[in-house]
Amino acid sequence: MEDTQMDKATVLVVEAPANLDLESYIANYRGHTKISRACFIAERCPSLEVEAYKLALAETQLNTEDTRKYEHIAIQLNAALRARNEPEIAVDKEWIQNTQRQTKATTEKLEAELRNYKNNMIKESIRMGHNDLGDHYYNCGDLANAQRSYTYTRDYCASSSHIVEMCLNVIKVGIEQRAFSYLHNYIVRAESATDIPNKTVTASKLKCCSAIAHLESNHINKYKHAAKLFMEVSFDMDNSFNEVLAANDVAVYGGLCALATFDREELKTKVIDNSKFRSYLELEPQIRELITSFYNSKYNTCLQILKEYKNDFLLDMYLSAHVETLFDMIRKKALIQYFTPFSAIDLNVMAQSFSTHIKDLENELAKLITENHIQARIDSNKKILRVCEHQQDQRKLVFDRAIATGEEYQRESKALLLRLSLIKADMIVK
Amino acid sequence: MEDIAQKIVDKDYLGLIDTCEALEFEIAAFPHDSVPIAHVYSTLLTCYLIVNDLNSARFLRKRILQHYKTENQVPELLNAIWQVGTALWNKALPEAYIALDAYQWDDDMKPLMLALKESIQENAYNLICQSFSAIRANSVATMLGSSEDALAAELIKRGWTIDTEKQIWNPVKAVALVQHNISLSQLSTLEDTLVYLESS
Amino acid sequence: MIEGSYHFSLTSYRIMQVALIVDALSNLAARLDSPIVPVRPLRIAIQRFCSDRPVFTPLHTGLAKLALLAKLYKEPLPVLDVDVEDIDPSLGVDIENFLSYYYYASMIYIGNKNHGRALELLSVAISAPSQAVSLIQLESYKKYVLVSLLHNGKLHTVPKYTANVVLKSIRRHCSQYIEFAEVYENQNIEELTAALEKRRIVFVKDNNFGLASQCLRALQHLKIQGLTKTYITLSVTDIVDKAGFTGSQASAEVGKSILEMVQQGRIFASIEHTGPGEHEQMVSFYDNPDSYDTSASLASLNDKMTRAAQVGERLGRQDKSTSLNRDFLSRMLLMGDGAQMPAMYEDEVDIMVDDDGRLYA
Repeated sequence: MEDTQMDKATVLVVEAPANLDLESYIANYRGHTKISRACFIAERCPSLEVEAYKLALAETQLNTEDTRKYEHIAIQLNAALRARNEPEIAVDKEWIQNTQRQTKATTEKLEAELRNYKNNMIKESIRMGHNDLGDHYYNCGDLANAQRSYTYTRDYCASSSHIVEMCLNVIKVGIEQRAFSYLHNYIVRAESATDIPNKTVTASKLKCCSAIAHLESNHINKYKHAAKLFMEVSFDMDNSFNEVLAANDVAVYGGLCALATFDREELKTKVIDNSKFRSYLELEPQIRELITSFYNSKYNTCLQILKEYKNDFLLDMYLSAHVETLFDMIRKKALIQYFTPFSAIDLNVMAQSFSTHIKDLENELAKLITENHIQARIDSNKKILRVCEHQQDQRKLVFDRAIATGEEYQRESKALLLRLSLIKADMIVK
Repeated sequence: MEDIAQKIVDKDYLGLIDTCEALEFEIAAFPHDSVPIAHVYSTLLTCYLIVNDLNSARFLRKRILQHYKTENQVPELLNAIWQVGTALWNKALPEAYIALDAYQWDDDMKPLMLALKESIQENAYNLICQSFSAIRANSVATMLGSSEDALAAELIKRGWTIDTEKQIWNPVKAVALVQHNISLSQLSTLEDTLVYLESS
Repeated sequence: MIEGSYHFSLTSYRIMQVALIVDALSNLAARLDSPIVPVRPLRIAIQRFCSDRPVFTPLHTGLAKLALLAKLYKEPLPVLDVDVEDIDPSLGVDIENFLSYYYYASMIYIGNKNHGRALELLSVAISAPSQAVSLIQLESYKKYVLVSLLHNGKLHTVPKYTANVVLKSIRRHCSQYIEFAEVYENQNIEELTAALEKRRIVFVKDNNFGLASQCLRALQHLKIQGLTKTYITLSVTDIVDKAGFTGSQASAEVGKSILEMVQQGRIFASIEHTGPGEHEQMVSFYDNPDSYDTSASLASLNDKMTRAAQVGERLGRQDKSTSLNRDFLSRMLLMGDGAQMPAMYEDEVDIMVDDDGRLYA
């Protein structure tokens, strides 16, 4: 439950998303991420809370042996039902007991087998033993032990395929633990493996992991890195990595990051003309329209789409934390791109193009100017944004700085000389 | 004393300041009755205001207060002059003009106070020309301490545009600086110095 | 310092006499009940004494202090404007009067609103070589903070060779001032007003309330200056809003501020009255019409560069001669916890031991 625990402090409430169909959305995934995503949505969207928890609960019972998670979700679900004066769900205690008994038995059996393999020193068996244990722990939701087991297979890998398998397992668990920082090494390791089947698909999966890790990092250009990675994902991967992300996600995550960070040329060459990515975009036509409308300077359309889909994005587990920032970046780029070809524009017209009040637009532009994104000044009287005369400013700046530096140098040198004299004369504060 | 009188006639206010500052020291060390300190103070204070050295005026005021020990002992004349000074310090021109007109300056002081008024008006006028492209007639009147009617004719002569209906007047623009060209020799000196600095 | 003493014998002053002069003049002032009396003679005496080389004397401190008491802020300037370059310990000077001189002199410049010069002097006091902290340095730092805000719009760091012991003490005893500076740098008028009120008692006790209050006005001006970079024209009502002026007289105050800044050449603006109301004013900002194409500016740049080169040369010579001096090096070592020495000396340091094999003490 680590991933959802982290957000507890600042969970924001999201209204019902306009476009999300919960069931088909969740059905797009498999494995633990189904549960994580469902819970993520349940915690944030009151109107979908019950349905999401129900889905999560069912999936947990059906496809995992994680009784702790089952109990936890059940508690959340019943709290939600109670709050709505609806009848609570009965916790399947029998299932819990049986499962716990079973998992204990399986653990013991697998550990015994592993001990056996170790005694016999059969490398491949030991590797598979650790792997099986890893899978088992993972299934029970014991991520720490799963991670440990998977890592142990490292010493027993005999081929590139083994290495890749190990890396992918470690990465999978790491992502679920939301511990992204050390994943980079494993990604690189796996990427350097040659001579494996499905190389393209594996490479694409790794790129996706890398991209997600970037999103969670604190790099300054993380969105751009992520975007570039998503653009390189081959469509052969399609939905095969849906225990982490679906094909649709490639379009959404990649599209938004690209829009927020690529310049016009990059947008054309790397996104719009990108045949691989185009296939993904077909799965999410609104993202495609987002990008093309931006490229064609139809900012109103573009911003409208963003607004419409905002709640959907906010309910996506990996995207949620970045929505505000990305939207902000896209909007800024739109404003800057709008103004770039002109030497002066009418703010009234611009306000209309962006469906915003002229007062707010002025403030936004003032901020862009202060942050040096556009070299212009606002004529608040005539409501015009005017490019400012560079040349003179530049030259004057250079001169001013030259003189200031010179004077400072003199001052500092003199101060230093004086200080030497003080020390020589033993005039020290004691 | 005659020296002072002469300088007033010559409108040599900077020279007057030098003389009075020196006198202030002299009298402090060797007090004598021929030149009363109050006279030096009043002349000096006014001259500081005329040349717009408000800082020096402020400190002189403090020295005056120190000299007379309590505010009650300070001669009325000095207080009256300082009224003008305070107004100028607070950038409240109307009050300055009021203070100038309110007091009955004696014959010695009249020429100085007249010069002060002219100086204030001159500075205000320059400020207006420098800062305004269009200014309300009543603001002009307030800043120049006169009436709109009295000013209109004079300002038109100076090139202003007067709109009696809208009551907004347009000052004449301040003169732009003359541009010089860079000479070759300056460039070569610049080059030499740069080479020297880079090598060290 | 040999050079100083030869000048010494020329004028045939002796240490005691120099120090006595200040006392004598102070007594005279007291007797005549006029604090201004000693100031001019002191100033002239210093100028004569230092006509060759600006060396620090006890007279300097006396001058600055007495000028402050006498409220004579112009008289001492010919001396104060000349940077002290030499220290001659045989003149009976100690670090106390050195620090006091710089502190009092800075107050004279503050009075004259010459904040840049005041900062230079305060900086010397604060960064003087120290193994302990003097109260004067703490008081200097307090003023340094406020004057830096007024002059630079933010708190500049002290020279990097300021002693650690001084830096630590500053953090402990001047924290209110440092926090005030942090609030200032947020550029929010309301916050600053509150911060000023909160520290009123502290500032008043330190005699710095006037300076601190000036910061409020300074911030408003700074904000207006910021606006000139973003706007070509702006209504006065908008300026009131964005620069954070409040009260019923806000428009008038903005008008006054703009006039003041135009007069001082800090902004280039033109006001247009658009109607009879006080608030009906439109302000246009434009660029500095003074370009650096004039040969006068180039000549000035040239001149400054030449002077900088000369100082650099002197520094180089001084460096060579002092780095070979044994006394000097050992004293440098003793600075230990004190100063952080500038890099140029690090490679020259050779541990000097005296004859007993102990480190030079």
